[in-house]
Amino acid sequence: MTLAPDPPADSPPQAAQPTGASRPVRPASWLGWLTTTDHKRVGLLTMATAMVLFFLMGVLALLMRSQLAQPGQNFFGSSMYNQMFSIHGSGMIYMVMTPFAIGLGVYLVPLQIGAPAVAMPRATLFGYWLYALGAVLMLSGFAMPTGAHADGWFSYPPMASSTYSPGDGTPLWIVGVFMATVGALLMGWAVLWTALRKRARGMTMLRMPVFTWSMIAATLMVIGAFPSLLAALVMLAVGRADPTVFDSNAWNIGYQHLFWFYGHPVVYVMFFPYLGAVGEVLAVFSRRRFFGYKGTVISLLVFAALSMSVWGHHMFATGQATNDYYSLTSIALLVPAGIEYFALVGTVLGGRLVFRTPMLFALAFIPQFLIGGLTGIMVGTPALDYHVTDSYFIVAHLHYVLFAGSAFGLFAALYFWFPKVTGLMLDERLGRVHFTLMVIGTNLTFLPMFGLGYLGMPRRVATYPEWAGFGLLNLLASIGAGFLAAAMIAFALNLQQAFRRRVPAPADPWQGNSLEWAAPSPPPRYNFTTTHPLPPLTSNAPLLDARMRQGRHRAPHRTPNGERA
Amino acid sequence: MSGPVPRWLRRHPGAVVVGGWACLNAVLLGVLTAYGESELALLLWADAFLVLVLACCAVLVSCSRGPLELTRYRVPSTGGAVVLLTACGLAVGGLMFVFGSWLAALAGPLLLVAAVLALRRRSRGSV
Repeated sequence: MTLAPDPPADSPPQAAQPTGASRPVRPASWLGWLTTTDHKRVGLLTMATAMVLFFLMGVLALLMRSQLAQPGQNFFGSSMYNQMFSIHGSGMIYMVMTPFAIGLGVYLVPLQIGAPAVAMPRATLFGYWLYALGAVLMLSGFAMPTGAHADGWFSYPPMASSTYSPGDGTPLWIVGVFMATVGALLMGWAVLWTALRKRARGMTMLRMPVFTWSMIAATLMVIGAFPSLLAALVMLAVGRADPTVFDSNAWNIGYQHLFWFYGHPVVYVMFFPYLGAVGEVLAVFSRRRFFGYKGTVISLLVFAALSMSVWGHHMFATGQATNDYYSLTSIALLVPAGIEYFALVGTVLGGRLVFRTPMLFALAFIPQFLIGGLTGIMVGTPALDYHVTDSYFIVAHLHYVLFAGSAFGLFAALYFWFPKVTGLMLDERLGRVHFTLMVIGTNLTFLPMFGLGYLGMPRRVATYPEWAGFGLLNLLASIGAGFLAAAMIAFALNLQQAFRRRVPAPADPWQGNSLEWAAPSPPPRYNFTTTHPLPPLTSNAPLLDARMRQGRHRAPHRTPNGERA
Repeated sequence: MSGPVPRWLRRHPGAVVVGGWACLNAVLLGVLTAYGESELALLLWADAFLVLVLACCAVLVSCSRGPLELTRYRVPSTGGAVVLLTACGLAVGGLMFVFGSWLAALAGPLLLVAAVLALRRRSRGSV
């Protein structure tokens, strides 16, 4: 993309022609933020909303852990406890991890491919508002006389039918999740279209950064799998209007098929973007380009395709799925996952490592997610799954995937791109405190849960008797949750300090590899200007290439042509 | 993994990816059928597969009609207010499922205002 002169303030470069003829809202006003068509603001709104909900869902988790710290405690009745774990799970999956990942894509993908905007910016904004309003509707269940939704994040009928779950909490949950899912679909489609059809001249498919490829794989799954959740929610709504629908076993099992057809791929939607972010962080702080780029791209696509064929492993215990087949495809996921792991480790090995906060989170992601992944293979084996299904082993497994894995990727991304997004530096010391507390808290909270599940503690119980022998491991898990709360306080403090002290960030504080680091921090309305133009697009690490060409940076790795430098 | 890209992949990367995706899914679907899974599960997969192939075809058609990489972009800078009003209208409309159809009295005007604003914008010549 060539950009014409663009000196004053935020005026658009010639290459990016605004098409609105009517007078736009002043960009700096609050209404300007709420009605923005700038992909960076829509992305920021999405991520900020997700972070606020992240804190709220964390509070719910803390309350649950305080109840479970000792046997026989009864701070909350079982009804309230059911509401808390349902909204915690629903919130984290539908309203935090998925939207944050897509929001990150909305913000970064146009920058990484050299485009001034996202495709379909109004549809993207519409997607954000559907998501935000959906989250409000879901949470408003707590204000209802019968309380919020209390049937878990997957809401199996007939439990979730109006017969067994009367009141307004579940209908509000259905409407809220439906809206948020439609919003995610719209934003996902916009990100996919941007990556495929809005690339700048010279940005070929195989020059896109790993993060952008991870967004492509994730959004393909969004498009393929999310409509299935919409269908499941419609079925649930119909079933609530006419409970006789769920008299038939076919519809109960049918709901599970529809739900898990969404429910498994969404795990990868919540994982791939963070894997891509970790890949970027590892490469930059290893001072080299991403190792095994093409293999990773292919494995991401194969992983995405395979992910659509494993949903039945969530239904092993129903006895109404072809367990052999789903076990086979689930274990086959090891192949693309192994390639991605090999690439991550290969990027670090032989690099000149720089241990800044984003790098610490990215490094911790590797072994911690491995625990989540390997236990996933265990529960993907029917014989083992029968033993641990619906136990705390499953809770431990999913938290190792989504918290020890994805959330660490999220924080790696957050610390990495925060200077770019805000133009401000975060405090390194507080970042390390945050990281240390997170590592201790995560492993202290979720590792004992494997033991609890193995010993037979069922998930979703409000309390447990002393004779069950679950006390010590639960106490350890609750102490771990305290560490996690402290970690989040350190993070909040770091954000507050950054905005108070306002240490300015340069355009490229980390010696980044991809195009967003060529734009100013924060990037202007149309991303690249004449003072910060697009560099020559030579590979998936054009800035590294530029530094190498200029001889300012000697990197012990390969040139764009694959030869040793 | 860092060797030269084969010519066939360089010339038709989109078609190769779509074809590869379709083939892999066809194989997996065939295996699932051989295992004797229920029709519902097969239908579910076939539907998702169809949605993805349609999306891929949309991309391929778009690619054939325009340049693969761009130098000029059209960027809509207005229309956000319509989006916000529409989303609010739909949210209130969704609440009809919970609290009854009387909420149509609130959702309707919101959606109507959004539609009027969108039409006004269009008549003024903005996209």
